[in-house]
Amino acid sequence: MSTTAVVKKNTYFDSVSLMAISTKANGLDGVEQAFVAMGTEMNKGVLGNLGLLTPELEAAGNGDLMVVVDAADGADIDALLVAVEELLQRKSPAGGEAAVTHRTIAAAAQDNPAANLAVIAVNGAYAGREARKALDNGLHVLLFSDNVPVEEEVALKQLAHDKGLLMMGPDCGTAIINNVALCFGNAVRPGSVGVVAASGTGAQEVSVRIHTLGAGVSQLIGTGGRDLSEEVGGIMMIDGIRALAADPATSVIVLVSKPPAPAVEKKVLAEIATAGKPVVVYFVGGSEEAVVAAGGHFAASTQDAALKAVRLGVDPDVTVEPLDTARVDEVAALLSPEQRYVRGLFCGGTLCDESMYAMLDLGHDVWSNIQKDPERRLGADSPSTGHTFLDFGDDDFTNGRPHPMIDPSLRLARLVEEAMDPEVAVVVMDFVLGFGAHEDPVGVTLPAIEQAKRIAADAGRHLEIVGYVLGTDLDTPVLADQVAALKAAGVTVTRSSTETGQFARAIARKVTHA
Amino acid sequence: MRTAVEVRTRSGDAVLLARLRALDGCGSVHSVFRGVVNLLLPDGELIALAARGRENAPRTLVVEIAHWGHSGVAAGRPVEFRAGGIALPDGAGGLWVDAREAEEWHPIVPSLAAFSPAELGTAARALDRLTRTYGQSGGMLGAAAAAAPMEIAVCAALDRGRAALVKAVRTSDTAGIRAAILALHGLGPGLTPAGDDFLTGIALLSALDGSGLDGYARTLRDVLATHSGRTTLLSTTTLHEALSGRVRAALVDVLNVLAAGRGQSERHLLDTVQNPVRRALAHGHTSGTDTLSGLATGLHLERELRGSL
Repeated sequence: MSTTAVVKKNTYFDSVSLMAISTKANGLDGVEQAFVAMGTEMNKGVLGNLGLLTPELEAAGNGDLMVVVDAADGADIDALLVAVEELLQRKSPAGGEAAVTHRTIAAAAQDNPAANLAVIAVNGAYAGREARKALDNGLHVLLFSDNVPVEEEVALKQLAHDKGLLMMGPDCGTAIINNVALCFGNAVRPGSVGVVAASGTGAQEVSVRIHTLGAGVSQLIGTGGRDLSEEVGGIMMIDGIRALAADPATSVIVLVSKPPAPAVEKKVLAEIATAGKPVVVYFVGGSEEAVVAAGGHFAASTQDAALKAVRLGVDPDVTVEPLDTARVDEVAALLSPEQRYVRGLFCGGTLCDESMYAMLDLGHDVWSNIQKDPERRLGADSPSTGHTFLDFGDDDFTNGRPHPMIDPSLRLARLVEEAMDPEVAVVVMDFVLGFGAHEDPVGVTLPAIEQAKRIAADAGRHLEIVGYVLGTDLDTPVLADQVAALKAAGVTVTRSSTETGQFARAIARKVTHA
Repeated sequence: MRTAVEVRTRSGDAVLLARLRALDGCGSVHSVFRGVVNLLLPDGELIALAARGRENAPRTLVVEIAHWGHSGVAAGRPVEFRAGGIALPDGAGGLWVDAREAEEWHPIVPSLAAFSPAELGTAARALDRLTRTYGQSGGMLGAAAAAAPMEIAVCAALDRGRAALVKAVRTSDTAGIRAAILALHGLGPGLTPAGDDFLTGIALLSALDGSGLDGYARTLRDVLATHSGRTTLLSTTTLHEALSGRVRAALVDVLNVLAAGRGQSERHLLDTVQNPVRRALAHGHTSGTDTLSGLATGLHLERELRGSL
């Protein structure tokens, strides 16, 4: 081995850049070890103790940058010095640290050898190709993009499975990996509950409930909304279950999905038996009998899923407060006989689904843009009828525009529109906090809430608006402030997605049977 | 040739703003990073111009510029301070940083006097736990997995320095404190070496009302005066400011949230303080972690010293 040193006079790099240069220098062919540091006395002392202090380094000042390369026998020292110089130039502030962007996933992977996950959000036409490149470079993938053909999704998931990688998505909006929320996610404490979810806001809601119950999340693996379809066959959910089963930090697993294809549901449930850990299953509208027969724990709602998971894995005595039925009575007493219907205006698909299913449970006449029954399915342009539940995050509403968690304009206009309908008793809304979401979802809605209430009052009606704020006490903006702002605007605030559905159902029952 | 482009200052350290209002003279550009440009005042002291979105900090102005990456400002060029602003050469008509309307920032830190020994212990444990959970290895938390021998050697030296400092402060051994500070001062590869960041965390605590770390503060002040060339200028400046209780906004937030959480259980405090701690940890590569490690060690020491009164 031979030691070569370069001293760059009065050269300053921020510590993140220094570390990146050091990491890359250590990865160069022929380098046994490399050290990049400011020329302070103590750093020179360390080099001296390691027998690496040359006269040149000894002369370095505390404003000078020392680059020390310990090269393997036979390595081309000159070529190594050129390579190190290139690294320094690329990170040089004059060259623009920000200018170091990567044109390809392969280059990014090569430049960041410690990276093991790629988040891809490009046009769906190209998303599959980029995801494949990431997988080929040994990276797990979170594919945010939608509009990826289903055949391509199957091929990508199969490739990831064969390589032992996660292929989260396409159309995957939420994950929490090693305590880092990706795309839309909430600040939840680390813990021992692992989640595999084929639904974005469903996963967010379950993670938030787990946090609120005092427990935490080990990993939240998103699968993409189509994973449990007949075509895809639950490849990612099954791989996710296996990953969490093998994870020593996970004591209990929760599965969350919108209604899966029956054959896939069967396949996924068969996986439970071999997990070796308790598995709680919340498939919206799913069958308790099938889950129990498979050895799982059936959950009837997002709240039930979180509660059962926390009881099984963390705190057996944890409880939640029951629905405030007195408030239901109070609201019902304010309504005129003509006001019979609930209108749900949601950002979150699973939150919409959960409230809608609560109503279906009573056999009500329920219409939606995400209704399974095609006869009761509404388009984005259809007027509301009966009990209507709209998922503004669905493709009908987001075609060519951002998700309502970012751009609420369509939902605000609809709120005002619903207020004009004399048959509307209650408008139910969700407000999603957290990474990626609107910076003040309640604040941006308050003028429309005020306007809606005024329209109803001018017509001699009371319009009840029920709001649920999905978020934790660690989220930004502050959960308590958002809730307080809604209450100050006369909104009834519910404490979970499940309670929101319960409240809507209870009101519907009252006004229907009145 | 174009005229100077005017850049508004959003906010700034109130002490620096007051000084700029009366300042007339020439300095120079010390160093240029994407987020920050460091300048030397006419008397050789260091100040910073941070890009929009960066946090407030001592001797720092936060200006209306997205980043300095393509600003044309280069190290070594002269800078003119006049009329409450700063004229920067950028290779064209120059930039005029107008600081006259800037919002003043005051780093207001809490007192330690109201903390009981038990509360100091709870705060120290919560901070320690969060730092270990979310912090970055490579400095005071030890070497990363598969680290190069040089990183391992630096981390081992940091660990020895910390142990020596803790032992000396516990026994009020002034010579030991001095030796330990010297063992840490300037140790670590970064622009603010990890050893200095750790010393900064303890220095900050020592500046709070009710602190029992005055022996440490006196010795550190003396070391800075007598060993001025042991570390980078940025690090020396940061240490001096911390000794006056002046640190960047994220650290001020951590202290204030810890103070507001007095009396809470450790579990509750972990939740309360997690967000500000994570923001403070995000500074630099290991700088945030190393500074909070110093803060946690300082809190442990405060508790022990309080107990011995």
